[in-house]
Amino acid sequence: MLALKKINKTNMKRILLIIMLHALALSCAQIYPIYTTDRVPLNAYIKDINNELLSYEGTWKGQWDNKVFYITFKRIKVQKDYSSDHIFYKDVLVGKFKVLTADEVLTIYDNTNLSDNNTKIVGSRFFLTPVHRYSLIYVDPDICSRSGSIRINFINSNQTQLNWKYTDTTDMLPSDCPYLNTPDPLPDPLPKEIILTKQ
Amino acid sequence: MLFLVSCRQEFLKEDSPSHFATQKNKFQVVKLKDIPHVSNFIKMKTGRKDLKIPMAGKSLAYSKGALEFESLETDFILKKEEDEVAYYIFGISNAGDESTIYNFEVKEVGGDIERAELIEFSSATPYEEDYSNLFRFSGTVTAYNEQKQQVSIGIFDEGVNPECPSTYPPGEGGGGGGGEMPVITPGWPPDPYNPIPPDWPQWPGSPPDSGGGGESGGNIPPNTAGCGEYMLEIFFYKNSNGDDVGLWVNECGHQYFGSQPKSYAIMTTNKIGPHCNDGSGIIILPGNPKDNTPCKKITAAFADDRFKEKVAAIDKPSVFNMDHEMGYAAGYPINTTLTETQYPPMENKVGTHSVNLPSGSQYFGFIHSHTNRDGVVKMFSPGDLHNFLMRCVQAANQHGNISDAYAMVITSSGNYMLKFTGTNVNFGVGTGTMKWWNKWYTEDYMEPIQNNDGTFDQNKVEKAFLQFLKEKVKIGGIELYSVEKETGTAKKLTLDAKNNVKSDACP
Repeated sequence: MLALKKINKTNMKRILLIIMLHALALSCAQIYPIYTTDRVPLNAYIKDINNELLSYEGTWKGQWDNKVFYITFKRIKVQKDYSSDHIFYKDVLVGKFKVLTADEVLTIYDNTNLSDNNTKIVGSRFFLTPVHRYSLIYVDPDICSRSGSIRINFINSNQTQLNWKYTDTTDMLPSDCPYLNTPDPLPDPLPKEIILTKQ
Repeated sequence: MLFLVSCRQEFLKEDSPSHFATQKNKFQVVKLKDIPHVSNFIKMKTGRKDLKIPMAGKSLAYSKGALEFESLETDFILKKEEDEVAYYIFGISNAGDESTIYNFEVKEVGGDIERAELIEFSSATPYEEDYSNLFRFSGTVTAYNEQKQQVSIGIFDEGVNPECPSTYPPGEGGGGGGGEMPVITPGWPPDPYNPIPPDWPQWPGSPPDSGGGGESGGNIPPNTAGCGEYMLEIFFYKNSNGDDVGLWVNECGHQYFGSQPKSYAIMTTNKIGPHCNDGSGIIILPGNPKDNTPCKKITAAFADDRFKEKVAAIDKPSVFNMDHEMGYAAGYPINTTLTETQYPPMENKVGTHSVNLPSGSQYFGFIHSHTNRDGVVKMFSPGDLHNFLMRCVQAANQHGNISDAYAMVITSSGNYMLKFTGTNVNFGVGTGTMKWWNKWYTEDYMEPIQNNDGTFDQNKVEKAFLQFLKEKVKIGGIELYSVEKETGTAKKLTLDAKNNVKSDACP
């Protein structure tokens, strides 16, 4: 019984030590503001300290070209790296969207079932001029990695409306792209510029 | 000429009028892709996927900074056939020193590879500027296997290995050791590989070849040794300088392969090698040929009016201000009676702002614009890179030479070219690669350097792209060049140890 107590005591000490070391390691990870664009040290955390990204969270809706667009933004912390031995962390918005017909009966595109770490839209950074905007990257592996940049900014003070601007940056298509040698246009799921309303 | 048209030509044709041509001996310059059994054998022996071979001998023992493995030169591979036997000779430029040359020689008998060896030509005295002392070689020639073990050695004195029974000339020499002064008979040489050796007493004091000259840094042809000017015996092809490349021979039968100003290889008539009377007798010289370096190829491209015309058609504000890209593909003239590079326009894919290569396996290059449209990076995109590697390099490897492959982007902030200097074209770039390349490129490299107003500083774009190549693409041999708009003068852009962009002007 005494021996068991001794072991438990020893184990407790070890656990305590591990917790302390872990806490020490966490406290050593440098925190950088969300506006940071320069390279950060190993294990650094580009953190949304003032919770600016939370304002964008939720589901937003807009209409364009006889279609209805829903997108849901969520803030998550992602692990990134410059190389395998230089990782860092960052708070970003991720977006999952679906496009429906105008009567919202038929679904044209839907990726809302993707996991948070595998979304087609991932946040990048804030741009400050001419207006305060958040930028997200769109890469769609289902459409030959069609890609583009999305900039969103609030247009009312109670932050219920967003201006959405999407710029297509799709360049030469990979040689195995099934759309390459067909006359059909490359599918283009995202609206170019619309106003989104919070749901 | 942007590329050398069809390098594969028989060096000595059987019906050649040349008195050097025989039924049983012939040369070829071969492409790596045409000898997969040889490259596979080397890879199998070395256990590596690339064509790097373990170095041995003096290279490891004495040279400072010598690498344990060195790459075989694959732009210039010679094949020599003698009846059922064929030898494939590769140069190794980065090894060796002033008295040592390394080659790699593969022997094939009846279609089967018999051996593949690193061969060290270690001269007793430093090589002369024109390597002419290879004709009267004194020193050791050692063969090493892939385990770096010495497998054979030949010790030569004035071009003769006393340990080896002479095979020259047949029926002469009394069956004793080689090296006896041959008797010059009329009507020689009956065979280029049993020829009459040079007039030996004249060699040491012979004046340099006044007709040599040539480009700085290259190997000048061996001196004439009082045997008259070298004459182009067999024309092979024109290099990018417009020089005739082929077999040059003087009156004494000394032979070198190359152009008038430069020699690429020395053909020794007495089979300098590690095995007695068994081997090609050819020594590919270090540093040659240099006609297909990226700088040379870019220079050659801008010397081509048809190429320049396509660049000029794109390099103008009206094109940069378009809503979509414009471009031309560069294709080998296959499946056509035409002989020049073909430049079909690249079509714009509906629903995008970009152009794409036409279908077909012949497109080894492309020239295209990146516009001034918002968000466009005035640098190669992941899609450009993907097409360069998976279409252009593959096409060049299949139909021409890897060094032909290029991608060019023309923008209002600068023009750039991609070239590939590697040998392994199995890039492992799969279907999913583009997703990650696009994501990383924009999210981690280009957006972080974008100014708050959405503009880019071009110096930062160059650096970010080079970092993207280094940290994410990680395919060795991809080289980035900036190309001046007016002159076509190129600079190689690289990252230094501190990740700053280093610019090296092409010579």
